Amino acid sequence: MSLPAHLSLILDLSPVPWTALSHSTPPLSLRAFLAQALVFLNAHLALRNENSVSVFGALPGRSVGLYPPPGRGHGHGRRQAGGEEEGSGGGDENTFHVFGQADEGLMSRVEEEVAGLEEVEEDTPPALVGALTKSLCYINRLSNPPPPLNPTNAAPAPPHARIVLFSVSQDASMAYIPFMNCIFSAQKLKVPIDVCKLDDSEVIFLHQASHLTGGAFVHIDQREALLQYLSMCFLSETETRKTLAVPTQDKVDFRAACFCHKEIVDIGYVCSVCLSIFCTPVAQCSTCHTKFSPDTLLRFGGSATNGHSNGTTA
Amino acid sequence: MSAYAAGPSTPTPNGAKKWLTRAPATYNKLPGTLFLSPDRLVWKQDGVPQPPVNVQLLKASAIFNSKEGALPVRLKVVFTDNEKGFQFAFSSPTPSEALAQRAEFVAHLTPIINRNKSLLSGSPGSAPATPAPGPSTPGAERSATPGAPGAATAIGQENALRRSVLLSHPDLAALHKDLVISGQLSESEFWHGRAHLLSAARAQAGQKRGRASQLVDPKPQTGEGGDIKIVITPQLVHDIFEEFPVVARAYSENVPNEMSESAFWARYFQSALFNQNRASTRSSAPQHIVKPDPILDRYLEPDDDGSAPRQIFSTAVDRLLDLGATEEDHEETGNERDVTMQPGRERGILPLIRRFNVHSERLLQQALGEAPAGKRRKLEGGMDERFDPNDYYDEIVLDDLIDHHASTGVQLDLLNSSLFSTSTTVRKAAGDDAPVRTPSESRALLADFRAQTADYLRPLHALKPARKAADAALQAMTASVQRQHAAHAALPPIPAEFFRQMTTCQTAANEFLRQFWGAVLPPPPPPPPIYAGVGSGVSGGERLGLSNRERAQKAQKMAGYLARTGEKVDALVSAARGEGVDPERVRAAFGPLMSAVDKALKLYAQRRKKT
Repeated sequence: MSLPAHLSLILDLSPVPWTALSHSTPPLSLRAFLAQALVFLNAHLALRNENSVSVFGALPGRSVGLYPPPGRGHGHGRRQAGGEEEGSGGGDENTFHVFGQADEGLMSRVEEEVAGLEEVEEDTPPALVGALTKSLCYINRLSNPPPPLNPTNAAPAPPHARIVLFSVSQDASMAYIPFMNCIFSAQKLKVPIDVCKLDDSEVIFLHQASHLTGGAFVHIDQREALLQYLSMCFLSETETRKTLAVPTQDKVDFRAACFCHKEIVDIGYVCSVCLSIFCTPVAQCSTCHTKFSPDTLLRFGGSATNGHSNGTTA
Repeated sequence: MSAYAAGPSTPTPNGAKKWLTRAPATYNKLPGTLFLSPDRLVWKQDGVPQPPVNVQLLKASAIFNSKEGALPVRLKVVFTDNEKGFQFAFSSPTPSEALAQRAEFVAHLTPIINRNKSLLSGSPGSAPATPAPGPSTPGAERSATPGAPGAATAIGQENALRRSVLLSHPDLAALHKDLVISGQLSESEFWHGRAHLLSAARAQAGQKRGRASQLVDPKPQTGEGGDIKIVITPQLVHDIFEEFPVVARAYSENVPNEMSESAFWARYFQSALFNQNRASTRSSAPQHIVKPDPILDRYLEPDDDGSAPRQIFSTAVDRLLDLGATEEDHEETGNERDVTMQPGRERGILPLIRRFNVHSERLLQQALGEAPAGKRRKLEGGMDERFDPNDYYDEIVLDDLIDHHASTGVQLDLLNSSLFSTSTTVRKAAGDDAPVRTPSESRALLADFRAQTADYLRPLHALKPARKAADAALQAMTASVQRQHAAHAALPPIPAEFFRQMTTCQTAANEFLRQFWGAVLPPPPPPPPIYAGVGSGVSGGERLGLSNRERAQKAQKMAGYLARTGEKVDALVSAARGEGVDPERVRAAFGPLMSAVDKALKLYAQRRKKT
């Protein structure tokens, strides 16, 4: 009997890209997106009784946990203005209670967070890395549960977890180093990161993330049929993926960002001690403070040829 | 030593031959004479006109002498095509004469053999002694000047190293054969960047084998008819004297006064002394029973199977481990001494075990040198030197016993943490046109955004998947999966011979590229002093010594070779069709190589235009 699965969604909730997306062709508004995401969530929960889900949101400059609601018990959602029955679980009786709970809990939190947005911050990128980190911490907590109070009870088996990340904007090369660290933690935890790209901008690091962790990277062409993409590529569990052929983008751009200016570089200089990348030769590595020999600097700085790849230091 | 002609001299077939030296010697137990000329070695048996041994010295590879002082005086000459060689025993009546004659032969043969050796190592990677063209020949000729017996020059050593590296790396040897023998690259260019291989080989050659650690234990072999037989070599004798000084003493006292050497050994191997010194069990067959021997039995020692070994090596024990140091504290407890701690289970084995211990201790002392003595001096500080109680402090103190103040932890402060923080402003991409919004526009945007998240149930219930779009999506994804599968499908293998041609073309082009970039780019920094002293002085000098003009020449040569690579690839592609391989596949396989070659050639053209 295979293990229960845990799905972790990471949503990008910054206003500016979504507005741009809803005005593009074919348009995709946040409303439609949220509806389809909820259906996807419910489908996952329906697959097995013990399946669980967690959602994290990335707002400009900060990241929040959306579901399960942090600090509050389950099932205490706000009542909808749609006039449903009053009940401890909320939602109407025609809805499967698990779905109702999840949807209600998630949407109330989303509304809360979005209502808290004060102003449009053009330049602050969404804190995707923060959301990713929180998600990984949550998964880690699930995988190593605290010992049960009654020692005779066997601890529940930790679930297989995977992360689905919805991206609507360019990735921030500022966050290269923390992002790579997240990828390595995901590798250690054996959590594949799937990436669903809704808009058309360049994302190099998300490519690398899905490639390194064994997830799928899908660029959505037909935005109205988002649900089709979700159910075809992202719904299957990790175990089942081995037998299915999941469509993913094969060609991965393995470029990296330099550590000094956070620009993406093709060819750079690598410190032989800590493997940090620089776009121009520096006298001292900023991460490990290794002093590089002046002969090497002369060679690289003074040589007329350029483009000899990856000079390593003595 | 002057030339010495003695013994019966048989008439030579052609009387005009000029011999360097001659001497009476036996070969295959037949008496005769040994002659040496500058290019030949001849041995004639007495009374037989035709010399059975008549060899050219071109192929002489080594000579071996028997031990000084061991009779008979032997000389063995080994050739490259005759590993067994020829063994002669100088048969002059007096041993000193025979020794002198042998020394004469050795003096003449040694420079010849050294010359042969340098000639041999001058030809890379091949056995026959024909010297190879290239810069190695002047080196070999230089080392062949007579008057320098036994000392190979640095060039000869270098060539020997190169040969050993090629022998241990067969793919490198193949590349070397392709490029250097065909004359496209020269030796020094080939080894230009591979100095690390040479230094590794040099280090390996410099390692000396240590002493053998086996206990000397000659076993008698049963010959036919029940005779026991032991082969006595001078090396064995030397080892026995070293291992068992008693036997050395017996030998020095008794030979040659009381008994001859051979008699001594015969009686020794049958005596109780030998039995006592054995290191393994002996069979009790009748011919192996020891005979009592009046002289040798004087050296017998009583068996070493008491409760304490007779020979205690280190009287000094580390004070921290010395159990006897606190014995006075235990007397009053009333416990008896522990008699169950007996060494060995059977008394008969004790002497054997103790002999092993003695042997191991001797080996250790020889290997480690004076270190144990130094330590002993420190430990006996109470008696000879001033006692310093702090001598043992370092060994007693444990880190856990020291009360470190509870550290609050080290705060990991990244220097220049601003580099790693993600809160700085993102660099705008070139095409990004961020519209400048008026505050009212921003408010409207936000309000609209918020409205999207409210009241989720309605759009959820109203959700209907767009049919056409969904179908299109499905088609697109299926097509991409199919494409991936097609790309990963296994292609039919390329025939081995053709593949080998492709790989040789690739490796040759790689080598040219390496040489090209080595000539074009600035030279690497000199190696740190640790490595410079090990004998890389010779190669280091030639590596850094390429002048600018030489580098330019080399770059030009390499550029020429690289230009021809394009033609080679085209030839392979057109040959591919004949072999049944898809030519496009071959061209794609050479794709990265061609782009590298193009890059190099482009750079070279740019440089030429500049200068």
